[in-house]
Amino acid sequence: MTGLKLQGIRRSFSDPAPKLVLSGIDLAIETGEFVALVGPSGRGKTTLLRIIAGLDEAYEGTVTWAGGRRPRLAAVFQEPRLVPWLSVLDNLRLVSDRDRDAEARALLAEAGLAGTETAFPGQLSGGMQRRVALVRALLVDPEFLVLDEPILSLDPDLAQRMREWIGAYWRLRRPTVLLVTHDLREAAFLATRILVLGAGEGTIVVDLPVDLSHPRRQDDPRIEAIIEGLAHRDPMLLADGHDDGRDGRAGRPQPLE
Amino acid sequence: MLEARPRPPVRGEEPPAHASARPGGRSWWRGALSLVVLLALWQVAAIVAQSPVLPPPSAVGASVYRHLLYGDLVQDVAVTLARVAVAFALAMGIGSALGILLGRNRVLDEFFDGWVVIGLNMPALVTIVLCYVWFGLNEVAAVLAVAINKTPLVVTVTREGARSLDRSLLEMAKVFEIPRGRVLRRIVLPQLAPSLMASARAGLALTWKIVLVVELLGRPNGVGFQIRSFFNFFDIAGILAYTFVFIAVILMVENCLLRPLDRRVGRWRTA
Ligand SMILES: Nc1ncnc2c1ncn2[C@@H]1O[C@H](COP(=O)(O)OP(=O)(O)OP(=O)(O)O)[C@@H](O)[C@H]1O
Ligand SMILES: [Mg+2]
Repeated sequence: MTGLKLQGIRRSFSDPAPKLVLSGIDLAIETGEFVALVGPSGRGKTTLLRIIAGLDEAYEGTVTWAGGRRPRLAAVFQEPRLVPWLSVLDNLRLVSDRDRDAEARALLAEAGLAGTETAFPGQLSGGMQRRVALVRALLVDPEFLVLDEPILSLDPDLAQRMREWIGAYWRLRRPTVLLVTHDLREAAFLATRILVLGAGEGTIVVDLPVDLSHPRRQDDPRIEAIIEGLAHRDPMLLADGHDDGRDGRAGRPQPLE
Repeated sequence: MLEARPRPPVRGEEPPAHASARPGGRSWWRGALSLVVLLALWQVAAIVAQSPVLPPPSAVGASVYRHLLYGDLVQDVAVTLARVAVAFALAMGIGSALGILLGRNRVLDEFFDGWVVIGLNMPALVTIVLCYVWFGLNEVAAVLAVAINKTPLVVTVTREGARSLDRSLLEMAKVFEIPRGRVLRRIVLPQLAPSLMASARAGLALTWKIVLVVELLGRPNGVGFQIRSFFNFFDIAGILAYTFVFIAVILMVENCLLRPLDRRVGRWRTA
């Protein structure tokens, strides 16, 4: 069953300068898939997520959900977006209910945030705020989960634990996941399918199924192979520099093939 | 290439501090001293002038005492206060609802902006007279006139707050489909609280002054009505007695109701 279908999505911005960011995205995501969307900075990953999440309506093309209705959606934005005047627990109550406090506390504990319930977001570190945002997203038991670089500003060990946590959650509840990341290893570790947003052209240039069973091992050589393959198709993916796409493909190494 | 230097912390970037933080060193006895000086000057002026139109503080004090014990002062103040309360609540409710609406909807805002400007510049006296003419010399007209006078001010202040609502939080609420009422209570109103408090404080001062005029022009009771009768009898001590008592009551409302509310509203910032 196709959970989400995008057809001919185009989006351009006129301010400060006219710029076509997405120039025709065609994509079908099946229910229960774990899709990773990768691509260097500025290629339009967040722009695409915003369109899918219904936050941006100034696009051309169509977004179709299975059954004609938007599923229960949750998102981790690129910034935590916690409400600064509400305690952590009150932030979680915003999206759930008081009688689900026990679940909220349990998820907080799993994210290593036990004891922060009464803290205000401003009293937490950046990495802690991001984890609260992740807890908030998981708490609503979403059918479709949008993650925009959810694992940032965490030390490598904690980051890996969070990845494993997200993977475990997905295996348990089987939501459809769309994960944006700069980290090819993260994509290959978690996703069942990897999409690469192309530079300059604003379309999906690589659509790669990942046929590895879940849970995966971090040191699985096949993950390494996937990363190499992707880097081969688009060397910018490893550089991780800012790519605002303005200069097109001119001065950049062309993909082989 | 430019060297990236750590930015010095900029104090001014923090959200504005609330009125609860009073400058240190200002103590109650200095305020009392200043009042005593004012009374002394007044006493001297009254002795020098020796005129019935400038009674000394002692005469005003005696008048307060007399009206408190044998007159209608308590009743009049209560009646006026009730009018202030109803008009204030009406203006705050309607004004902030309209303000949020205009602040969030550009089309409506453009359309009604002119109306708001006219409302802001409408002389209070005109509104009062028109209300009495159109709705009759009754309680409804009196309270309505005051509320109409104050509403545009509340609209402009709240509209300003609603315009600067944090968009990223509203987007978050939209994605998670948080119920409207909850968004209003927990995300929108807390951001509007400083504007609402500002308009409440400015509004309270404005409201009671207008209520006195309304009473003077067309009500058979209340502080404003009494001041007119004292005027007719040239009872300046009576006018001043009523005025001071009423000012004291309003200051009490401000100190015991608005200020603690203000502090509660700003609590998370200092937590
Ligand atoms: N509201 C906007 N107005 C104008 N331009 C925008 C706007 N939002 C995004 N853009 C432009 O669209 C391009 C893509 O932005 P987007 O945020 O989608 O990139 P991204 O792939 O998510 O990058 P990153 O990995 O850094 O988050 C950028 O060049 C950006 O300047
Ligand atoms: Mg982004």
